[in-house]
Amino acid sequence: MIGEKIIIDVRNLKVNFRTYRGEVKALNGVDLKIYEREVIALVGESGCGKSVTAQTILGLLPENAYVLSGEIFFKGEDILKKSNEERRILRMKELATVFQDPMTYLNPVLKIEAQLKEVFMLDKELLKQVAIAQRSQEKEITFTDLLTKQEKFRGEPAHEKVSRDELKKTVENLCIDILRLVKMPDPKRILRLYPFELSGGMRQRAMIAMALARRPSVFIADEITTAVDVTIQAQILHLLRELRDKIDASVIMITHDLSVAAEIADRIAVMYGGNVVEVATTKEIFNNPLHPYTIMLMKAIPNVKKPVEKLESIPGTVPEMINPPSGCRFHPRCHVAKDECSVKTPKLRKVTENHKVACL
Amino acid sequence: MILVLIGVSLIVFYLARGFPSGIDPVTPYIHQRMTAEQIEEVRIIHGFDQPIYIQFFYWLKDALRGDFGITGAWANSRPAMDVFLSHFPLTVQLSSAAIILTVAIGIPLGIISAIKNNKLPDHISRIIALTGYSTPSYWFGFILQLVFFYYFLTWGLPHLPSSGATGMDVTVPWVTGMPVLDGLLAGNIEYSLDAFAHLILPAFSLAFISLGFLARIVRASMLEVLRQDYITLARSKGLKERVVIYRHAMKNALIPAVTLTGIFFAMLLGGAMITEQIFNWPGVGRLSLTAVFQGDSNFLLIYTLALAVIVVVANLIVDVVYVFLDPRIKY
Amino acid sequence: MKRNDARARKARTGEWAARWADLKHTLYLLRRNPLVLLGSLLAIFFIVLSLLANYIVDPSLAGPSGYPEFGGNYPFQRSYVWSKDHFINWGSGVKLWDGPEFFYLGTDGWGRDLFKMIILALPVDIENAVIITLAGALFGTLLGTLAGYAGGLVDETILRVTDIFLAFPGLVLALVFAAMFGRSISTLRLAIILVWWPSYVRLMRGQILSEKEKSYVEALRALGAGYPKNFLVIQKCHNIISSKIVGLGAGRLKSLLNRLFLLSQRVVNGVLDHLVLFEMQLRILFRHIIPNSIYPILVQATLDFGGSILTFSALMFLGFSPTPSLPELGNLAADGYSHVFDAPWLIIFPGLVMLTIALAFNLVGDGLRDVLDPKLRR
Repeated sequence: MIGEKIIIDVRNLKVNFRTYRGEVKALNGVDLKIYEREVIALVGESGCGKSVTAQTILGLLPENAYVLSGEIFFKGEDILKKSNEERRILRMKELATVFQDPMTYLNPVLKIEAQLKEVFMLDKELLKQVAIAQRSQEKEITFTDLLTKQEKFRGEPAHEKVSRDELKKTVENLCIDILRLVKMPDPKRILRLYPFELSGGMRQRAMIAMALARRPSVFIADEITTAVDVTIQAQILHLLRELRDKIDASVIMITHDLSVAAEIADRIAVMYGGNVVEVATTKEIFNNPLHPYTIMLMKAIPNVKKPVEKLESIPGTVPEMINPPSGCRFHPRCHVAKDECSVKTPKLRKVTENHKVACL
Repeated sequence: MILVLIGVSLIVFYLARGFPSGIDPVTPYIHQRMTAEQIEEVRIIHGFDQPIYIQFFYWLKDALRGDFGITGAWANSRPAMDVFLSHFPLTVQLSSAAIILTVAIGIPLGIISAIKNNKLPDHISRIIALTGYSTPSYWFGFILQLVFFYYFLTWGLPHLPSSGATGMDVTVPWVTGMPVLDGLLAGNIEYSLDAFAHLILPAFSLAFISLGFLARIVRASMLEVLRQDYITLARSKGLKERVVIYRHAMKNALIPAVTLTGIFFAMLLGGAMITEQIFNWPGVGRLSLTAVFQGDSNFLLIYTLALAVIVVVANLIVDVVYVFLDPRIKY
Repeated sequence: MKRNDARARKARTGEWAARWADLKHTLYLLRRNPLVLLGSLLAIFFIVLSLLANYIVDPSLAGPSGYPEFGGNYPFQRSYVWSKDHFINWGSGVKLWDGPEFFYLGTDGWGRDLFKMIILALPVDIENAVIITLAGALFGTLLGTLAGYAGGLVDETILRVTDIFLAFPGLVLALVFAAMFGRSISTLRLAIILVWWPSYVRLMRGQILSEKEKSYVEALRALGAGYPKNFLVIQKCHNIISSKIVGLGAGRLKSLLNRLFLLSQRVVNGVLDHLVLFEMQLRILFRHIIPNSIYPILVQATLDFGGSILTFSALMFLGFSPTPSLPELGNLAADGYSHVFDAPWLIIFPGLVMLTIALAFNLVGDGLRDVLDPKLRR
């Protein structure tokens, strides 16, 4: 289940954006620890910096953004100090992302098979091994086999030659199998189609398949349920839950919807204004929210069981990130703000074993 | 479309023949030693004495049969259609060479410009592109001639010929009318090479002006594509940047550029006039200039109409090609 | 009613403030682009130079019309001179030029200093380019607005006419026009305007059409917000009068008057409705559509400026100059056409200047287009 080791450790990450109106201080010292094989949800309003955090981890920040300070440790190494090429290889092998709107994120002039195959083709050696192993077996080697028996297939480079047709067939089988894994109906037919010929849910599954194909150690899902309707949302969450038991990866679930987080996450990290303000297990967060922002968030969720009461919204608006409030960024809207809240920026401190809060 | 063609011919007709203050339409058919009566006779023969709309009617009737009248003395009084057809392939040859050059240079220029947006290569290629676009058509050809013909000659370097389409005394059976191809078809390689050498300078001169335009469009389209989300996804897959650009970006960005090339070709056909004049290229454009000064309405009409038809046809072809290239469009 | 007015007024000022901020942003982006800066500097340089040209160089050097006069003596031996050793003379015997003057860029066929001629040529060219571009843009924009706004048959007709003009290959239309109508400068201008105006029609029409979609919704909404004040006054007066009169009379007269005034009320309201709608449309046209469509038109006009200079000088080059010795960049180059290998400077320098001017304006226009593209902003 959830591993003991920390796979991603974000320390005091500060990221700024250069715009014509000034510098947007998007991330203001983000601290986040992600353990192996856990599902952690990054929750917050739009603009609080959750996507930016993910982009920084991936190394896909837009041109006008830069890292001011901080470190990101992946499996012990600070990846911010690595070259672009090294980070690209990381993206290829370890970090996979699924994005929000599958319509715009899939290339409209390429067929699904092309976009899926190219992921598999990134690791030709592995494909060759699979093809060779296939020869001696009757049953088709499936993607699930790849997942479970990974060790068997990695190793020294292949000694035997593999023909092009064999490779093609192997890739095709893997594609079909992975599509089956994400519950795509009629995978063989889907492969030959273009993205605009699929429904929204199917496109999302295709993206998930493309991410899975790399067998990553970290799976980042950036608001993947936002652009779909509720029924598909449920299907996708269900799929993710199934997959997470099969794949050996951590999942970073970025969303603004606490209910989505509640359904699938082991831990929840609440972000506001460029900081992580509270992080705890799901149960803890819901039973015992400590940060004023989290408390208000909870209050804003209508509860099916309780009688209908007034829905409370949080007073004020999201702060402008060019001139954020000093000290704790939440203090202008906080109902328990003290004087020192406008001066000192609180850091995450441990309250209990699983619960950390950034508040004075 | 037919309406457009009729409109075009109406305008040219009226301009060329209808204005008493302009050049008398009888001009190409007379020479100075004719008496007034002889001139009148010529005028009646060609029907220039009749009211303009009747003239148009007769012209239209003949034109629909393919008879565009007779050209003046400047073209040996041959039928206009013949004159046009015998010189048209040369213009096509020139324009084709020019468009190949345009595409070969313009597209990479635009792509580089887009990839390295706002950095030095972008600025350099933009200046090159815009310079091409701003060059006077009569100037660049001269400069090329000056350098590659004259100066090379005086410096003793191998030089490129500066006028005409062919230089050798041999002639070759007329198959396509394009010297380069005809030479190949007849097995006379030397002839083809000579024709090709004659082709280089004018084609480049013509191409220089249009490649800037193409590069701009490619750049704009590429920039827009690079901003798209699916490029981000491709990068997040860990694909090499070069793969991202070649496989994902270009396919999308080049669709409008390719379709534009067709229209460009049609435009080049018409815009080669001045270049042909400078290089003494015996194409249809140079002839049209002479026709204008001679007041030869017959030739002008066929020239204008033919090129208008080509432009319209090019537009249609481009639309069809677009459907094939972009899988999203269903006809 | 009053609340709506105040809110509407605030929205209006908000809009203008937004436009001003937009403009500042545009200028900022422009400043950051070095090519645009270069282009605009060059453009300004040339414009200033052309304005001052007639004061820098004595215009009589070019000759009033026809051939220049040099104290009655045609300086034959000064033709096509580059330096003391490079010299062509078409007269009898070859003479070396050993005169005192030094020509920076050589001379033309009439012995005029090319450098000075180029400077004199600048106002001719630039003035013509301005006139051609402005006239073409205005005419095309007007037609485009008409086409987009009126729609239906008017739209179709204008489109067809535009298509016809666009189908002409190259410069044929301008050439034929110029050949027919003589060689005065105004004819040439007209000829080139004929070639350039169609592109504006399409542009403007497209803008209008896309704005019309948005504006109808706005018009309906605005209509719901109430009539403008003066119309309300009319309505109120009418109501007062009619109510007073209706109270008069008795019996059948009363009912007749009643019906009369009810009818009149309906008529007045109907007319007011139409007037309001019309006024709304006018207001929308001027307040929204034109400011928003100005940008692409501006870009096109700047780019066309370079194009029209090139076309104008091309026509001159082909021989349409009113007088053979008119100082104009294309004309100067035409003179050198026959002597291109002996006196290349006649072609090189005027063409170079032409290139630079066109390049300057194209740089500006191109940079402008980049900056104003809504997708590339921010």
